[in-house]
Amino acid sequence: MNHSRRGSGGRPLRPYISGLVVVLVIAGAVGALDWDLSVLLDAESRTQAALRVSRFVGAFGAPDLSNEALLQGASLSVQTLSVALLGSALGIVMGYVLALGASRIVMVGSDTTRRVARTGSLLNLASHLARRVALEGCRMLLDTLRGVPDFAWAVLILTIPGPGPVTGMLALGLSVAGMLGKVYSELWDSVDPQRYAAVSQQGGRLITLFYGVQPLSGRSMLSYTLMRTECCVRNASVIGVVGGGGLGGQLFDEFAFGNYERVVTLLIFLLLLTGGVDLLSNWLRYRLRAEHTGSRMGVQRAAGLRIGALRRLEVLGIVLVALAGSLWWLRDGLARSLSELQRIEWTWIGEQVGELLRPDLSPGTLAEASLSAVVPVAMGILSTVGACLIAAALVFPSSILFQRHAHLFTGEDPGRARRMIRIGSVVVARGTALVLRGMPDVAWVLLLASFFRLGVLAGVAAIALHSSGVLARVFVEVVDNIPARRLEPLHIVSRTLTFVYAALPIAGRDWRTYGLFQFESNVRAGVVLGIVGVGGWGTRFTPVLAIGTCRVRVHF
Amino acid sequence: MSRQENCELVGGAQIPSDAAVVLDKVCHRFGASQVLRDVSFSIARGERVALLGPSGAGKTTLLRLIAAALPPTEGVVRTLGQDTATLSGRQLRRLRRRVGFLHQSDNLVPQLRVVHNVGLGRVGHWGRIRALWSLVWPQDVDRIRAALDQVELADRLWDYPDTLSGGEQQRVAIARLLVQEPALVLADEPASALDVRLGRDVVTRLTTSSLARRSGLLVSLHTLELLGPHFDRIVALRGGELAWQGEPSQLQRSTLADIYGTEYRGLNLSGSTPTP
Repeated sequence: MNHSRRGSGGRPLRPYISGLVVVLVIAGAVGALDWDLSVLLDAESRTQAALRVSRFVGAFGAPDLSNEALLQGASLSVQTLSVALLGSALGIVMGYVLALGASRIVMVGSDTTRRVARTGSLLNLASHLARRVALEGCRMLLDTLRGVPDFAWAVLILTIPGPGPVTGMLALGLSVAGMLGKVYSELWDSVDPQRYAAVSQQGGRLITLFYGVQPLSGRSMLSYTLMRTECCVRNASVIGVVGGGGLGGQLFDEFAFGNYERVVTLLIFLLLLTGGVDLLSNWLRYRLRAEHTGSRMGVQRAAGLRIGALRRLEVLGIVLVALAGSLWWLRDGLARSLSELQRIEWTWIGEQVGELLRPDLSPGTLAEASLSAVVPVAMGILSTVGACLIAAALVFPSSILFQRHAHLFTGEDPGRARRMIRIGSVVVARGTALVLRGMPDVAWVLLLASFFRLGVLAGVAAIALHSSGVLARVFVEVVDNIPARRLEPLHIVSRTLTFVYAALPIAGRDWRTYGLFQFESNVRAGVVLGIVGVGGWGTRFTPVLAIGTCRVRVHF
Repeated sequence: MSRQENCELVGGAQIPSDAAVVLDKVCHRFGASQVLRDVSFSIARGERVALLGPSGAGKTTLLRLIAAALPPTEGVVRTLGQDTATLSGRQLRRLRRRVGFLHQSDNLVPQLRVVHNVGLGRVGHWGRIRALWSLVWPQDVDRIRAALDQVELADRLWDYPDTLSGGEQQRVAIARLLVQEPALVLADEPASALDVRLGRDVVTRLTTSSLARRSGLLVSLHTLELLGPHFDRIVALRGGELAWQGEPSQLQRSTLADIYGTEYRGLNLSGSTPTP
């Protein structure tokens, strides 16, 4: 029986207490931020803001479609895509190598402790210890790579290759390596040792990895890698703002000059690029899944395998061509960065790195750092709450289960007109989510700046809007995965009530997990937006770095 | 609901138009497989009918057709006077509210407390706003508690379903039917996941509550041991066709062997052929 606290009439108090805690946390986050609402309160600045907004909205009606603008947009899109591809490739390679070091089964093996105890020689013990140390070292390195957002990596690296695609590539590569290295090593370590026992009895640890573990976790690795690459394209368009080249930088400049017609053109290219990659990655992952279930059914298995091997070669070819194309496209930038290398005063870099390793740990700096940490956390909380609400509101209209396939549990033939309306609702809602997540949060900030100026409100709204699109996709996926037969016993009145009474509780746990993941990345986004000028850690980052004191290390 | 005529002609027999269920030459196909073939029968208001037949005979499909969860491929299904194939929107919702359906399992949402799971039976009476608000502040708690009291689970009002046993979960689902106050209750092998003793308890609760409230009842059963004393009639399906119908007292072993075919030996008939 349940012994939790009960109110009058036996009502459990726990849900209300947790509700209260959530409200208090939100209130605390609101209180922690410095809201500058003068733009909205002051009549004059309100009219000015309205003027800016109307100019911008007007520009949407008439984007700059001159040949020059289109050419620029297209070439910057290709540049962004090239940076993203090369960055991901770099990240995948580095991540894989570091994953080898961070994986328990590669470094230590699954039952080494027993073996060490059995043989017991001092040399064995020493090598075992050394491998353990290397393991922990690699894991810490991965944590650092992942902990610093790619945006911040760009700011840190900027001084070496100079602004341009190489900075963007390296920054993306470092952060992708951090993410994928962790995912790969965890995937390998989570495979049940029984499943590759036949291999591990024959060969060493690396043989076990290549012939036993990796084939078993390959599909998940591929799926994560695709997802990361897709993210990389989105981030590549943002990283330009701090000098990583591509769409972002140009967008920022045009915005600063108030050239809204050109901004709209670039935004269209940005949406086409991110939306296209989004849909492509969806399709690829769908194919992966379909292939998986196909081979399970044992339909023409041998033939399927041969086709699979051929297709793998094909894909490898396409990837190599794409990478070569990216290198060719970025050849000027690469050459420039290479020539920069010769001009770098290595002693100066050495001094900088030396300072990085001797962080300023004075109480003043520490206090300042921890105080400015409050801002991104508060922004993360508020934007995640907002994003979850928007995403949840988008789920019902974009759910295939509740719109297109509702008859499976309602038994209702909605008729042609209503069926069209429901399909329309799915298209519109999914399209909205696609646009919401297709615009990176930094681009949203630039847009919202014309409403609220650069301030906390714009930052929170920007992160909320972008991440609501991200969350909407996974939220809908969870709901659409509920089998229709599961809903039939619970469908008594209307689709909406079945959604609230059955689908929401069933999907709730997964939604919460995704929401918490998003919170983590939203805090990181809060730091990033600070660099653009929203406040918090980020604001300190740029000027401090510019002075060259490199105290920023402390801020991590 | 209009009731212009007192009687209408269905399948050649005179059937009162206020019958709870009327099936007229109903066929149903899923893709290429014919699940029901030319099924005609009716259930009077307040009548309690047991639906028998081996697995795959089409019992579940028949119940889903009556519940308007499926439109028939051919023929007419009239539930509480409404042709289910023509219903949509508000009319369908109104019918749904008046038909209670108890499934073999998965009747409850495991993530919702018992009070909400039972309250789900009231949402049709509450209206949308009140139904939503009930998830925040449960409504009609006294009525829900009274229904749970009838199935002897009043003290589990605030618990989660996964703390209950299988039999208790089905009783919670029955409590939902009680607060829903339907004019017709359909139950699809409601005891198949339970042992015989608990299964009998569930079926008896269904029949007695139907007796008390004079609502129609159609229960499909997977074993004859569950056939309690309160059924007025038996309808048997075999291979998607109506194989036999009549009073429980008329049911012969030979008929059963005929209906169940190879499954006959698994029926546990040792001395338990129903005697009225």
